[in-house]
Amino acid sequence: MVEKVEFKNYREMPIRAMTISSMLWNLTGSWRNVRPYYDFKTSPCRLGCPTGENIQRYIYLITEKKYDEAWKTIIEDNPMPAITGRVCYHPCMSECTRKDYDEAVNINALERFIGDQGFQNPQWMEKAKRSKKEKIAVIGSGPAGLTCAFYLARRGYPVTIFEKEKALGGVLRWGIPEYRLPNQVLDKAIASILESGPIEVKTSIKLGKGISLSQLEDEFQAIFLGIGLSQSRELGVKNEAGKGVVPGLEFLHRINSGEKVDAGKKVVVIGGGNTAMDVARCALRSGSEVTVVYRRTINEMPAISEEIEEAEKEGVKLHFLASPLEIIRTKNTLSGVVFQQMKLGDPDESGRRRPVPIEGETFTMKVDTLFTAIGETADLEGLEEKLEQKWNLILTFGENGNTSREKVFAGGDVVKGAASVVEAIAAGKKAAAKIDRLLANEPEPEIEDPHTVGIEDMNTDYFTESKRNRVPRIPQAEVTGSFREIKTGFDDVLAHSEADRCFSCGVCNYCDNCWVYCPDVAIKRLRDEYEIDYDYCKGCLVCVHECPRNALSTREEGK
Amino acid sequence: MIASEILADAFFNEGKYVQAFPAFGVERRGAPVVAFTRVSDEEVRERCQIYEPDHLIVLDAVLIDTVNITEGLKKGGWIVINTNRPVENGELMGNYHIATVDANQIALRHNLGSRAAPIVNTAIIGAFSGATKLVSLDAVKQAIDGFVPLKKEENMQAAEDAFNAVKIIS
Amino acid sequence: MKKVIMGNHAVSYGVRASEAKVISAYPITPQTHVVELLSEMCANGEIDAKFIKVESEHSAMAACVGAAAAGSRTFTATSSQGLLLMHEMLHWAVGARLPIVLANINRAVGPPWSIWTDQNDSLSQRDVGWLQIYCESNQETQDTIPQAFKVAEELQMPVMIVMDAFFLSHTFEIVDILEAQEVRKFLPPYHPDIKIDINDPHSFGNLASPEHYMELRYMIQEAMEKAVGLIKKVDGEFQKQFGRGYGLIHPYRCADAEIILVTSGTVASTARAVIDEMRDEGVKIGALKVRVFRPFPFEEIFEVLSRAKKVAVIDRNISFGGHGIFFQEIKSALYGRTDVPILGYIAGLGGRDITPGVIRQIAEQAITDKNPHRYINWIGVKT
Repeated sequence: MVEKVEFKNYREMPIRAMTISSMLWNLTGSWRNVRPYYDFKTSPCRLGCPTGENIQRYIYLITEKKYDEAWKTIIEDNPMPAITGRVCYHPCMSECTRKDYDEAVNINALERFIGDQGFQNPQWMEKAKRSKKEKIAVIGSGPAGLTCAFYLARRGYPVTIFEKEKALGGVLRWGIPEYRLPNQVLDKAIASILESGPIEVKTSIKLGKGISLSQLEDEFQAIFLGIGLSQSRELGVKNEAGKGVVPGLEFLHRINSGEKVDAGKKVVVIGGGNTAMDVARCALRSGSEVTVVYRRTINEMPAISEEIEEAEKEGVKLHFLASPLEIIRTKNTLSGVVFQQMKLGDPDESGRRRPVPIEGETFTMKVDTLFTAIGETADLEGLEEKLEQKWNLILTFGENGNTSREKVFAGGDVVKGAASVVEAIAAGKKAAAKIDRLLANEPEPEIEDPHTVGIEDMNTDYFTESKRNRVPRIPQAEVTGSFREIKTGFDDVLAHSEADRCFSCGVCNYCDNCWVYCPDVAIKRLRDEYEIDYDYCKGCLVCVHECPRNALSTREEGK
Repeated sequence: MIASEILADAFFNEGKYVQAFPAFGVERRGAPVVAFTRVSDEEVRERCQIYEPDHLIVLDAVLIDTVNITEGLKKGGWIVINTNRPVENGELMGNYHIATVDANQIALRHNLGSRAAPIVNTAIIGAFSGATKLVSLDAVKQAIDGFVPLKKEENMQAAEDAFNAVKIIS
Repeated sequence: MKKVIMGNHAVSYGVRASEAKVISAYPITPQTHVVELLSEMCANGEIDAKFIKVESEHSAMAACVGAAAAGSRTFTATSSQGLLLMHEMLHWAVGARLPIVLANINRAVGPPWSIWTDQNDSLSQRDVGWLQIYCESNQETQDTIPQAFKVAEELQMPVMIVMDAFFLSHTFEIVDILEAQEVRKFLPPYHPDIKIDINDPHSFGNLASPEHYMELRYMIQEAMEKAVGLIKKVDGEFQKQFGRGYGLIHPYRCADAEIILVTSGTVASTARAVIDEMRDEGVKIGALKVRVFRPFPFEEIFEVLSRAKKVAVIDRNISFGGHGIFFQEIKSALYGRTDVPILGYIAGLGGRDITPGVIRQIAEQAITDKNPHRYINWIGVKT
């Protein structure tokens, strides 16, 4: 407080109503009864991502053109953004706040953009040296196995990957066609993971044949099983065994090996999942006329809707409410398939309506090759008596992949059944962390309650509507004639345009609104952060209300 | 309104003192509009409306039959009318100098406005100059050059055509 | 360069030449062209100013208050109901001693709705503390804007420039356009000693206890009194550079006049034509234009009018229950110092035309009227 000034006459006074001296003595913060504070929330996209990628942050870093930092941000949770950026079913986008405003941000395409940037900049990947003595075995080199190996190797554990095939990749290599995930992309992604730390690879070794779980348990301090689902389920119909009826996975394996497969003129694929779509589209590219027959309707199909749309666009025919009844063979060759006409009945436990046969209504289709894609099962040979199982899958306990044996962990499709690449990545990441805690004898971390935000928390006055940027594609005429990758990906311009659409929900992206609007100039702008000067902040909360993205919260003083 | 401004500007170009203004009121497209121009060798001091004009310019001949166009008009002044028909009103011809010009046709020839609504401002001022010789064609063209934002050449040519085509009736 | 332009645009050109830095306004007939042209000038870079769009005149003046407090040369324009909506902020501008310049196009106040001229809108703001300058021509309007900024900035007081709707706002006249590089010599860039500065925070417009309030009010009155001489000085400087001056008041053929008509705005101009006519007829008549209404130039007016035998004041306004507002001021200027009779005439409200005929009628009526106390005469009312 300054001393009181006595004016002898008006000439000593300022002409306007104002204080003579600086008002800095007046710590108006004492007037405050509500305190604003920077409180970054978890963006809904991140909560929607099974592996919890810090999506808001890497998109912000794209807007800042800091691609290296963006890449490193993703790598914390997912070692293969170039792959997920192509094949992920992107549940993050279903949670994107922007979907309630205009259209969700094209997160998937941005992830691919950064993943591809990583290929051009191999120096971004830090190389870990062996710093731990405990050895880890990873069985299977699909997304779960590769991820688990990556995060353990990064921590300095020597990892040995055992793979039954000649090449690594699992479902990524054998299950996903090249037009969605080119082999060279997969090869680069695998190479960068292998170079990241002390990882040894042993191919053409199958668990249960070349090596047993007991042997592994003797040699390694922890074992991760990410062996996936490698066998197609059988239809269980009359005359199934024999030429002309081919498991879908086998077909995909051959196609993905670069083999030319002639499936004949008329091809029918049984099933409604992603494998069915992949098989159908590959058969189409091999020159066949393809019909997918599914026992329910399009509404119940488990395949990603984008995949169904693409298949239809390419010329795959969809036939609903029919189920194979009998295979007709003449002289040992397949000549046709008899189908049972179905209708939808009451919903089953999954909530989808159950297909029910319509008594007496059947029809016959002429078929050259019938592909089965009604589901895959695990090959658990050699594990039967050692690990507890459920529904022919490995039984795990908790979130981290613990199995019935202390040193053995499992994750991915072999645990969840046919799930997704990103869920396998999440499982691999969690198991790696858990194995590390086990070996280092560290306690379990406390589970934080992630508080998130929604459209109602945004100050949408600061946003303008804009259309999502679509990913450029090769001309449709060139799509079906080859296995060329359909989507060509974002360039810098598109990536920036799309990244600019991100609301940065609940997380500050340094837009300066709080700093500009504070009527008391009580917000300081530092490098990459702001600081509220509580000596002067009166608690008017203009900063809170004018934050477009709810990165500030309030708290009553004294509570 | 535009015609009154161009006319004022034309006189200004010849060194006169001028003033131009619309009849003050609520403007409505298509309604009859009156605008005024004052010209003087000395500074114009009257800042009020004009009730007894010396001369009259009629942009639409329909008004001759619908409005008392000569109300307040001083006898012996000029009336310049945009029309393609002969003026047969004996009273008008007895008291005033009458001149006519088909400004619609001249405007359309130079692509000024549409058939339904030709823009005759520049043509009619050219005709006023041609009939009365109170202001020169050059001064009119100079004013058009300064005032008209688009189609300057066409407007200047329309004024010149009207200057030459104007018919002095009485 | 001389051009034939409308009065509203004369205002815009005056602001351009004065290099205002912040313009905030809300459109209203008959002022619209002023801000229309200024916003174009801001957009095309003809003037380096920030144009702040607002949703009302109250906000326009509030924006001007903020900008002026931050040290910017600030302008707005309005009319009638718009000016009245600003009322609270007009007080603020004075109390905060901010040199804002406002152009008000005199338009009658509704209801009944009217877009035509009279002075009740600006004169009802008489007591807020704004300087008020009434102009009679487009040239004077344009020239008064830089003068107003100069006076405003020196005194730290806001100035209102007033002009008649339509008779000036919509009338095209010859104006010698001012250019910024010339005006800069007359009106240098504005750099106030005191302005809002986050690095030296003071409290502005804060509470003043009874022991301080009167002093602050005293200083406003002191500034107003100082303004009388300052306006004259600034006008003289302007005249020296540009050859045109306007004075506080403008007496016309008053030196030997027995009767003097007191006028303002465009009527002053029309009246001069009548004076010449009547002089030719042998009538000893003169006209006095009051250009500056606040501060009211009491002494200058007394000097002119005390020599006459009769004074007739033409008011395009009325203080209901009182008299014409200029009349009241003139009366107080002469009170107790001379017994010259002062007659008051109310004419031209709501845009009714004041023609030379109307002025002559007033003059003749005043000359013959034997009653020295006829303070209110309505001209042209259909009775």
